[in-house]
Amino acid sequence: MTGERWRRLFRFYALAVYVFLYVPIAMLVLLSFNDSNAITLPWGGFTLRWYRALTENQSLFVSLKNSVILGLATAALATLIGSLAAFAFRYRFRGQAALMRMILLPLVIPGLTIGVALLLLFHALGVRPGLLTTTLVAHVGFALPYVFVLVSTRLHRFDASLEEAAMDLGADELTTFWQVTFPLIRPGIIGSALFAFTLSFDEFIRTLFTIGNDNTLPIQIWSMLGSMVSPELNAVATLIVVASVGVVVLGEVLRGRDR
Amino acid sequence: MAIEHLDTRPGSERWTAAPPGVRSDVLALLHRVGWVKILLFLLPALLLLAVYLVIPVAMLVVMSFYRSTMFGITRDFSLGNYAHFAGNPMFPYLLLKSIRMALTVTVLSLLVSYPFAYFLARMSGRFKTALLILVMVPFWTSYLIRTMAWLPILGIKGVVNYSLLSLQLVTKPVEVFLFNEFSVILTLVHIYLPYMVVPIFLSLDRLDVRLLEAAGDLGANPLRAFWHVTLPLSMPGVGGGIVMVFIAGFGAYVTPKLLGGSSGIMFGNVLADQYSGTFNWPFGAVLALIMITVVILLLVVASRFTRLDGVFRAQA
Amino acid sequence: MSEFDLEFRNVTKDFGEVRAVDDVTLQVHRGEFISLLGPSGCGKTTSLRMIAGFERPTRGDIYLDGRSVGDTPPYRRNVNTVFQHYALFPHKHVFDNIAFGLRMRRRPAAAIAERVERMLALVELPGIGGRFPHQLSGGQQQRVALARALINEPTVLLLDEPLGALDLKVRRRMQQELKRIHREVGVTFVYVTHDQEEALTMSDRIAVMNHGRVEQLDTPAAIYERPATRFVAGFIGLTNLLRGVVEGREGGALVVRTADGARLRAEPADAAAPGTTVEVAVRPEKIQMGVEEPRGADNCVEGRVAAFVYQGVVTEYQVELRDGQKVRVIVQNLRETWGSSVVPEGSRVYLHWSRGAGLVLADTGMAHVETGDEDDAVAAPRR
Repeated sequence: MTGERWRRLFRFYALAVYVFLYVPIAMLVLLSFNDSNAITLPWGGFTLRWYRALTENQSLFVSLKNSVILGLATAALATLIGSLAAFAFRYRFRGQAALMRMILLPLVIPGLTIGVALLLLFHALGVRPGLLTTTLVAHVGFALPYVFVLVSTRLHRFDASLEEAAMDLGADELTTFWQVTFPLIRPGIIGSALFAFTLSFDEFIRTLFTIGNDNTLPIQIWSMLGSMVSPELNAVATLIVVASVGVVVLGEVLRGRDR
Repeated sequence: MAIEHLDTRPGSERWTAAPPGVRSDVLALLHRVGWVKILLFLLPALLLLAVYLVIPVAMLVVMSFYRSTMFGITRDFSLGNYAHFAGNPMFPYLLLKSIRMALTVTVLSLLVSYPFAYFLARMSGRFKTALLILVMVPFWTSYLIRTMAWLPILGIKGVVNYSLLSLQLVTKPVEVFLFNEFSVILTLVHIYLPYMVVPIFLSLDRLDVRLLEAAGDLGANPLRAFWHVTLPLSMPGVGGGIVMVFIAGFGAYVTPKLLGGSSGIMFGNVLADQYSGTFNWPFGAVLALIMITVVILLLVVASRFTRLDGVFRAQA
Repeated sequence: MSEFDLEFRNVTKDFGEVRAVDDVTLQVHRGEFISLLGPSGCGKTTSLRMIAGFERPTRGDIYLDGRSVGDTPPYRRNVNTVFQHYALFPHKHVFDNIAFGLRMRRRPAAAIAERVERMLALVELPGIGGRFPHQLSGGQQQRVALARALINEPTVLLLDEPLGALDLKVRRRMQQELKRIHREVGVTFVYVTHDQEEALTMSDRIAVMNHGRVEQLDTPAAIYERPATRFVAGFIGLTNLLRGVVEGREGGALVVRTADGARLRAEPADAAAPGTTVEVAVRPEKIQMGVEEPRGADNCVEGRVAAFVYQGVVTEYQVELRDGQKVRVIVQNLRETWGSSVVPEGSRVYLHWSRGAGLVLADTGMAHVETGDEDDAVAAPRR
């Protein structure tokens, strides 16, 4: 086969993979406008009534509010803790490699086991499950390695001689950080925060085991899947997709700006 | 042009540095005892890890030795739960089945992803980043939603059946697409495809084209160049992808629960059941520990292989 | 008040097992332009960083203006650095970059503005205060970095290979600029470089460093004419090394006998005792080459032209002596046409030089000497 035919084959193949990746989501979005009581085909016509139904769904709004609040709290805490740790890793100290492996370990431990383990812990401590207590711990722990990696790579690319120049010119450590370091890594940090928000917003499995009576959006969707399977689900899902992607895109744009 | 001398002799208007104060004393102290600063920075993360990871896993271990009775959980040390796991053939079977399914997902994912990543890596600049982002976009949405999205596709009223019916390939809807192993595996491959594509892409992208040119120059046809140069050098990416996809597949809960029916059940489902239906927390702890152990074993094995891979590369 | 702006007293710096700076003692006079010259790893940059305060000596002390710096942090020393890659703050424009040091000292805004304008005029970049570093060329960035450092009137200005990233023409121009500014401003300059030509051109004195030690601290001419050690002889310019055994003294010179029987006369006369093996270092441009045997020459050896390279201003000959040693000779192309004056390959020639042009180096046993041979030959001056 000639080079040209290989290329065409590849292009076709790549297209097929993209189709595989996007068709389910596309279907979801499409069916959210479906004028039918089932979440599947047949197509009953274009309608916005499911979105309208959403606006009347009080519990959904509460869940959304909870997800947003939790997301913001997670973003703030995870970014703070993760960034501090990333800064610490600029220096060399004993046990550095082992500690980094520990920080990254949560990335590979299945969320289900973490959720279960946290349940045991909070139960043993007698802590009642709550949105901004137990669930927050689960979310921040979940997001931490991601923030750590993102901020670390950003710091790695940061030119340390700029900090030396600032100190050479009379700025002490705090002033140097404030005037030179932070302004230059700020976009990266904000981008990491946005990513942490999205992680928290979409998180389900750990939340399932650490949340009490409150609902986040994914939790509510889960119960809707169990009980009332209606195209309202498709509408919610579509909105979540748009929101999640939007936030991450925003984060990437900001992260790219400091290049 | 007359430029004034910068007069540096003593007595001239020489501006000195800012006067010292409390703040500079603290900073000077931190400067001298460097490790205090490092510890302070790491403390929040260490605390978080303790609460999120270390202590909970320790609790799993402790709980695994307790017994669950009608009256609650008794705290005497016993290996009963482990015996229960080994004794009932269903549990080891389920464990092996989940491993097998996860392996299937991994292999399929690898087969699909590698050519795709290869194609993407060989592309020229402009569209490459855009296409890569396009692969990652689905990844930024919740896997719950992505799982749920397959329902209207695979079901008896779903897209697939709809097309089959309209193309008159079948006379009535086929049930085989949903609520079994097949749908679980298919959906898992779909959800975790980016996990496999991205690492392979990254390692292929880093490949220096000139290496292939050199190979060609030395007489290797494209196939042999691929086998001896490209493939070995992409191994780190492949290894990373395999590990991530396997762990994600093995630890799956949502997907088998939603799409697996009764035949597509996986280890995670039984695990979760111990905390809702059966309320056998100690036994659940055993299952969780087993799941974690499998994952850790895989990581250990994988890291051994990447070292071997280094040797491989030195030979090639 | 000390007459020395900068002093090193037995300064040693270790990084774990590695000794970067080995017991260095030196004094820098007020307003002097001193270069620290040496190959990579010789300790020059580490020394600079210790003056600035980014590293602390393991042993010994550094004195600024007569006072020991101890462990004063960099931001409290009256020392400023011009960094190798400029390190201009990318998010601040030129004005803010230059004004940075003065703002740290909380000077009034009006005074700062006036000073910044003066500095910009000094480095010949008036009016670019509003631009950002990435909008400037390499040479311009370098000048802004210089202005940013000088505006604080430091006791000592440190320059860490500041011209390394510039291309040749710009570099030459900047060298002259730096000299001019140094003369106008009168601040002590400590300049780190590995380019010996640069050091020779710009410095009042040069400290040649190797493996953490200062091998020689002297004026450029003295270093070139009278290198103190084999290393210095090899590192600065090109040199020939002729090995021989000391016979004795004659007049004010030392007589050295080479393997093929030639008797060389070189200085200093008290360099070594009879019977010692020494090397006589002779600069290629100090050797005269002729096809007839000269009479009454201090030094004369016979050989054959093995190769020659036309280099525009000069012709470089490689002459093989009777005993196999190769000698490099540089002859200025004085004639109108080169073709008529070049000595063809294979010709028998006589090399001679005065006894003052030969320097006796006692065999210090140093393993590595750069004689300017082979690959180093053309690279040496430009390094």
